Amino acid sequence: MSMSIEYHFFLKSFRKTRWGAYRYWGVVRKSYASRVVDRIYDYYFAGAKNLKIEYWRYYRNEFASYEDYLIKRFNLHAQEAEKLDSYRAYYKELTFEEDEQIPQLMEDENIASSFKAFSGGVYI
Amino acid sequence: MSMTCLVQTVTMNEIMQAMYSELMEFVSCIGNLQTLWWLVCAIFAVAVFAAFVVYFRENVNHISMLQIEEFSEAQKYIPELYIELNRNMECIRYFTHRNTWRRRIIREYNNLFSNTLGKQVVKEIDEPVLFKRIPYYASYKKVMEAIQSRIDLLETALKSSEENMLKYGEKFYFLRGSLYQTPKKLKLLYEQCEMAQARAMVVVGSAGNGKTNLLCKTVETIMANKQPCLFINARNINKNCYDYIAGQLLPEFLVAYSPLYLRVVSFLLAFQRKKFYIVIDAINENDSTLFAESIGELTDKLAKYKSIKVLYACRSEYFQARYSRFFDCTIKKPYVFHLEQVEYSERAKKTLLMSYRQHFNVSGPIYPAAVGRMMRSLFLMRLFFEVNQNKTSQNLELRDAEIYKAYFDAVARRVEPFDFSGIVDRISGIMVSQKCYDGVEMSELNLSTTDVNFFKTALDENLIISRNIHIGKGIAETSVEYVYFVFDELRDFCLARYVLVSSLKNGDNAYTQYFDFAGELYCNHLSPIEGILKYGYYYFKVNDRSDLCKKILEKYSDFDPDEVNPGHWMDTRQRVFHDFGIALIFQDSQNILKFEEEHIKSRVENAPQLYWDVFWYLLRNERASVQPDLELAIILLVKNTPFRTTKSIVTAFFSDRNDRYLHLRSEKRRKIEILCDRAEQIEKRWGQLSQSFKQLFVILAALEPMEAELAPYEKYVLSKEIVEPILNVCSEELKSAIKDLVYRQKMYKKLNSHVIFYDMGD
Repeated sequence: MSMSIEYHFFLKSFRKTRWGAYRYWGVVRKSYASRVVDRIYDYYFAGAKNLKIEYWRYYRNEFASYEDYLIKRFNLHAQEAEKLDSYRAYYKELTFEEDEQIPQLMEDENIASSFKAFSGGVYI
Repeated sequence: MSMTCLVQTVTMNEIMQAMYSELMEFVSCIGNLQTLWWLVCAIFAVAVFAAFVVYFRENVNHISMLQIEEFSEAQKYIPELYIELNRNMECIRYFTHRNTWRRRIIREYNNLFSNTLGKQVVKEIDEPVLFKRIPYYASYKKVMEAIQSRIDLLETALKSSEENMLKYGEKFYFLRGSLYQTPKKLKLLYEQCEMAQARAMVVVGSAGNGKTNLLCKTVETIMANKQPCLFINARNINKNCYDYIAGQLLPEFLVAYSPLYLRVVSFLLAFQRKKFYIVIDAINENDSTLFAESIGELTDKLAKYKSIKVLYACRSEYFQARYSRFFDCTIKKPYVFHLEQVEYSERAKKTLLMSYRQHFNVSGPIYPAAVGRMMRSLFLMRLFFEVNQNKTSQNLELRDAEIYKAYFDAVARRVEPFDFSGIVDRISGIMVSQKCYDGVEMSELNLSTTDVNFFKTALDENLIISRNIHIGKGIAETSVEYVYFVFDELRDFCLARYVLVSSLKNGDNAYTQYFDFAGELYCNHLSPIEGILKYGYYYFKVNDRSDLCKKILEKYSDFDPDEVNPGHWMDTRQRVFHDFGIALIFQDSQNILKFEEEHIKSRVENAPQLYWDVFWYLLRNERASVQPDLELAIILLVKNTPFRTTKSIVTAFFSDRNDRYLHLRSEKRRKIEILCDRAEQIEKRWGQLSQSFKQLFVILAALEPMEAELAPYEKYVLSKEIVEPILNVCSEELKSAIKDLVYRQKMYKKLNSHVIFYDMGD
């Protein structure tokens, strides 16, 4: 048995860039804190794929609609699929992410809640 | 008027003459055709051939649709129950999309080290292989070479050697820590490339793992992508595999031209940048030697056509033993894809359970332990829901004995008037008498040809299967047909039922035969012992034979199932209870009897940690609001229990306080922290904590007064409703500990109010 597959879905915006993350957490670039923020950003956001583009490019024949794709391919709920029905919707698979310390960091309630507020996405 | 008539008559005559001459010409044409009959036939054949080429996709897809419908009717494929639980379907998509998905792999490859950590790693290793990107138009061959070179490089760089230590210094450990997952990802990308490139692929998975569902979904995907696909059940193939497929594609008189036909089709598909997929399900279900031997031939023949791909599915139990050798001798060996056995994510589990509940109309609460077990076997889940269909209110537990019995009854009803149960009993009887529990020779069942056919239809390849086994070589070579049980648990159920029924028939009220049989299995460490005891215990309990249940508990409580079944699918980590006697008791947890409570207490007295197995099980029930809940845990902990035992149980719970290696364990938190979390969740879910839960916190706080985590729950000690039931049944020492806690709480409250007053004044 190996580990399960994990995904992070979010809506991209100007706020959800690396600079936006610095600003959100109030850290100065190239400081120690900014390195922590970098790692969080890398873990959850860097290299994310656009859901609509993925759907149109690879799955449009297989699934009847974009929402159907989100529900059947990723087991998302209908409400979540509705929320992610946007060209700004991105997802990232976290299964092979290297930085194991970030999930440990997220065990801290304050950090987890501030990250949740920043991401505003769905983690499954 | 007469003039007009005359003109009409002349015109009619002319028309008649013209028609006559036309007819004569036509007849003479037929005469000519009679001499040129071969030309007519050739034109007809070419026309039919052309029609079959033109309507190729419609024809094959229609056959596939019929096959899917057949599976749906037989309930082997239920589209609503298909959930993407892991990466299997995604991997097969690479096989079906080939070139269109290559860009995806290249993108993954190029972005592998694009984040901050990756850039640091690349900088440290400083090898061009790591930062070189592949262009999006690169062929699969190039991509695979690039991936392989990265894998090789990382393997060399991460090897613990003096050379690496000198080269990277202290950063070697940073590299090892930062590149733990990357080789795995590279290997996955490499496998995806192999799948995309493969002309033939074999999907291998254990029984009840969802192979047929996966294949049906794949076929639907291929058809949705407007590609031709021929879906065949291997059971239906009654001749050479290639001939059967040719027969499906062309009418009988054109089968001889099938190579030409496939060549033309392949050529035309290449223009359209499409592939023709031939999907053959369950090759292990076809016993004929002709079929088995023709699989390799088929693979080789179809490998000649660039636009044809073949996908087989085979049960893993038979693949290595029987079918792999047919593929090994092919020129182009197929890619063997072992279905992934990953732990499903919570979301996937939830979705799966919901879809099963909806489909089978089961809305009652299901025991969490039952859900956990079902998630390890989709087949067991299917049986559970089929048996409990339309049950809406009861608490549902996974009672294997009842599930297997109901399933056997259903199969027996389906094949009436054939005596299916009788045959199963006969198989069990032969196993018991021969002391051989792997399989029984078909000839020993003494079945007539009709009965054998009936039996094979009834088997359904899910529970019991028959196989031809080849033994000997050269002149001594022969084949023997054996009958097996697919699941060991099911075999144990049949054996237990057989022995118990035999005892009943012989009027053996003490079930001596059963106990003798169990004793023999136990002494010889034979694998059916676990199931025999489990089903026997359940049977005795249901039939109010507490004396016999006690006998089993006394004799076999120390039995360790891992000793006889080391490779059992329910391995040690997945067992809920680490004591066999307690596991036997909780297989029917809704009805815990007095003597069972006493037994648990006696076991816990010797090994306090066993209490916590039971506790976590009951806590899950409490969360799901099913019985038995934490009330039983309180009874076991304090009711007429010596203080020494209670104290040792509580001490065992807090033993992780000074655990230096806690951060290295899978669950990095202390048990008390987890318990407090669960309490919060339950309070959130049901609005308040149960009385038993509050009592538990009181007992823990009384015995571990220095535990900070318990501080928010100590207040419950001031409530008489909570404390008095404990004080009525517990030991004197615990009573005084609780009274101390009450005193402390009262003092604290008094002090607190004073402090508040003082603060206010300040």
